[in-house]
Amino acid sequence: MKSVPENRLTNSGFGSATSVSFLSLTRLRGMGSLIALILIMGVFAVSSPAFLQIQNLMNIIVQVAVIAVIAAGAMFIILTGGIDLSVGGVMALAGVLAASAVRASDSTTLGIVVCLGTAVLFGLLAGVLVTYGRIPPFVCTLGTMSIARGIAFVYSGGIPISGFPESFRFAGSGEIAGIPMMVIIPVVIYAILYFVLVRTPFGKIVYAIGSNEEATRLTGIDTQKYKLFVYSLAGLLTGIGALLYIGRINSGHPGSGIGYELNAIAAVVIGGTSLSGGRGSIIGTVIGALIMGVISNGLNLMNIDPYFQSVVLGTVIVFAVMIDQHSQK
Amino acid sequence: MAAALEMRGVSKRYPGVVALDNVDLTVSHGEIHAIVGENGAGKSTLMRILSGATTMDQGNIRIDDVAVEIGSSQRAIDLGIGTVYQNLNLVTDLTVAENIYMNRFPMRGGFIDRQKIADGARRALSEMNSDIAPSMRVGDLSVADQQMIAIARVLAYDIKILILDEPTSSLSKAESDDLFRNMRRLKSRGVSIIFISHHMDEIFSVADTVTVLRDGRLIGRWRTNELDEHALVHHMVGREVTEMFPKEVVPIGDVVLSANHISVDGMVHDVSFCVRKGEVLGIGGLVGAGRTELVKSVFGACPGRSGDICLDGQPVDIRSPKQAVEAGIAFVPEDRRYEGLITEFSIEDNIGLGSIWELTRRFVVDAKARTKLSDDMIQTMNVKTPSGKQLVKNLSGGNQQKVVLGKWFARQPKVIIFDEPTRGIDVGAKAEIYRKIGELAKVGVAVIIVSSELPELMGISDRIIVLNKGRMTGEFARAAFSADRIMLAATGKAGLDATSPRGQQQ
Repeated sequence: MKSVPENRLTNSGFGSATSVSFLSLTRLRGMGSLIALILIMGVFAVSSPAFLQIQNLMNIIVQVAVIAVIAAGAMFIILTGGIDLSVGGVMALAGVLAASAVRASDSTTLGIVVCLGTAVLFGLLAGVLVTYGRIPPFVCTLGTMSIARGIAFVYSGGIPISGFPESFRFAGSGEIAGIPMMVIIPVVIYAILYFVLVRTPFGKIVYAIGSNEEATRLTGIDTQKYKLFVYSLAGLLTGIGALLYIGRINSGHPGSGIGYELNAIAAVVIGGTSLSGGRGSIIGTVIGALIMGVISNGLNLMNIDPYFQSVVLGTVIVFAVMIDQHSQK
Repeated sequence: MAAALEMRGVSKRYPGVVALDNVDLTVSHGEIHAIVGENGAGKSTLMRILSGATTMDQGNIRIDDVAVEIGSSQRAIDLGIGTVYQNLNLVTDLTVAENIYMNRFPMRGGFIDRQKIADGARRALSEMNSDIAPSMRVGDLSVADQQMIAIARVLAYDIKILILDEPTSSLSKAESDDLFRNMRRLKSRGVSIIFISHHMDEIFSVADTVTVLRDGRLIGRWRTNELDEHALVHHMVGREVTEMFPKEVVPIGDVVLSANHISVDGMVHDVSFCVRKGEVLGIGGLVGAGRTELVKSVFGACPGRSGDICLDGQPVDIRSPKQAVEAGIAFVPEDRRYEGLITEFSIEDNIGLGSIWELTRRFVVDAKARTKLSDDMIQTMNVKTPSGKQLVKNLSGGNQQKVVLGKWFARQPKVIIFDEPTRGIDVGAKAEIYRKIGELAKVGVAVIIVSSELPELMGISDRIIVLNKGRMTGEFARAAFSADRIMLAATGKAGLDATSPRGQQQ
């Protein structure tokens, strides 16, 4: 863990990924985790010759694709000062329902609609409970996580639903011009979300709510409405994550996605987003997800016990939050 | 006999402000001593020095003719000075006994000795003629009972000087009378009480002596039987104020906003007012009189409002700040840093946020238009900053307030509401804010200003309404402004008879 350059992260911790000079500041802020990523990759490149091969690098992206997409949604919620623990459960439910719909109807379109629809509905539900129901996001999504996971098991009887038409699996296992969809989809999503966050009024308002919700409200902005939208957007991204996941493993499993919520939050936090809201960049989040993927992949190549990987990852998270805390001053 | 407490030549400076300038205070044994003054007169600073919450720059303190240094609140208690703050500082989830023994629990075998604290608490409370059960949860008690507990907690130490900071601000008349009985009982036991209050009737009924502060200076010390309410108010307010404010006479037009029979759950009761084009309407009253709730509810930011609001003669339904802003009302809140601005944002982002949809072209915020708007406002409001990219948290209070003004001015509102617009702002910036308010009126904006500073209110308003405990107790046209009468209305002593009804419409 010597490779994490704390001091650089500290320097980049100035939380203004929000002004016109957004690009330069975002680069600055993302820089700390970017350097960490490069250093970690350097260590693995030296210790394992297979690491830097294109095929392996592509593998890393495919491996982190689902988490990266979900983390993007988690990041929006965290930027508003909230948190979402429900993504793992919602992913499983959306996957199971979509799998069942596809098996029953043989319609890829229906499968996609069910998958995304379920996830958006759960996002909307969490949003309504958090805003109008005034339930703290942590408790609320802890509840919806359990509800979604429970329904997934009840509905499927605990049995995975497998075997989909090729078209339904395209998002997870298809490729265009030799590039896996698991690479293309996250890249496109991140490009769109970057634009949304940096250039649109919606993005600005998300940062404003996370920095000072009351002042934002008193400026004449309907903060509740935007929070509702943010939770729904996170739901949509969880749905896309589920689509990628079941397409890849060709099965909707009620036990899938366990721990994904924490991995998504970890990616966001490692990427330098403040858990108290208002500060963070989308590029940081993608780097955070990549760091997690690289560590896991590199340690695998070095034949290191998978249980030990968990120790390393945990250490990275703790350091990331510590750096975040110290840079807030 | 030496005085119980003698403070001599006490001075305290904060950056940009002299809070206390060579102030003396003498309190005798077994005396109830009121300290009065307007907001900002230095009362709280003086009490904070005495209770060890802050230190003085100059001066000396003697207790029973012995020079002492009060460096910390623990030291103050050791010296026998106990303070009950306005917010009481109780832990509402713990019991009465636990609160009274907080920080010094008697232990037995490693655990708190429950029997001992229950007995001790019962004894302390019975001394104050109270039969509150020591096992009650403090949060379940009335404010008056909570206050009793806060006092009992302080008295559990060997206290010779008790400071009560506006103890009656949230008590009913009967509860206040109970409190006064307890104060007299303590006095008869030789405890000296320093009592801070804005309410003239209370001061004259319970205090023996009164010290008046104004602008951080000592005005004088009188026995309460040596003067009457009018004289005391005059000492508090003092100066002739109008020339400090360059009030420009602007032609006043039609009614822009009228609020009729506004009530806010338990805080505002049936208040009606209106404000005209180019007019500056002041809302006076003591802290806690319901002024903030009144204006916030008109802005849609305070739930539980009843009553009607009309803009330009048309009824408008304002239930949220968003609706208020869309209707052309702007609100400059009392607490800039938590309600008015996003301090982590740049000036440009703050000004831009107020007009974010107006600055949006095809889903994208037009960065150039925003920079231009922001630069215009920085210039109009004379914000002192190297650039609009500067983070608001790095600006001084006055410049922060100018950014809030700029954010709203950019929207060209019909009505702009200020709540304590110059709180925590240095004198120079204050004058500038007043000038900007005058300019707003000049271009035809209807201005409403809530202020606790009487000179400010009288200096910039065309008309003043006064609230006391949520009700309107006075209305004054500029020609009839009188600090004494406004202060009397604020303390609930004057009826509406003192008014000139020019502003009452319909």
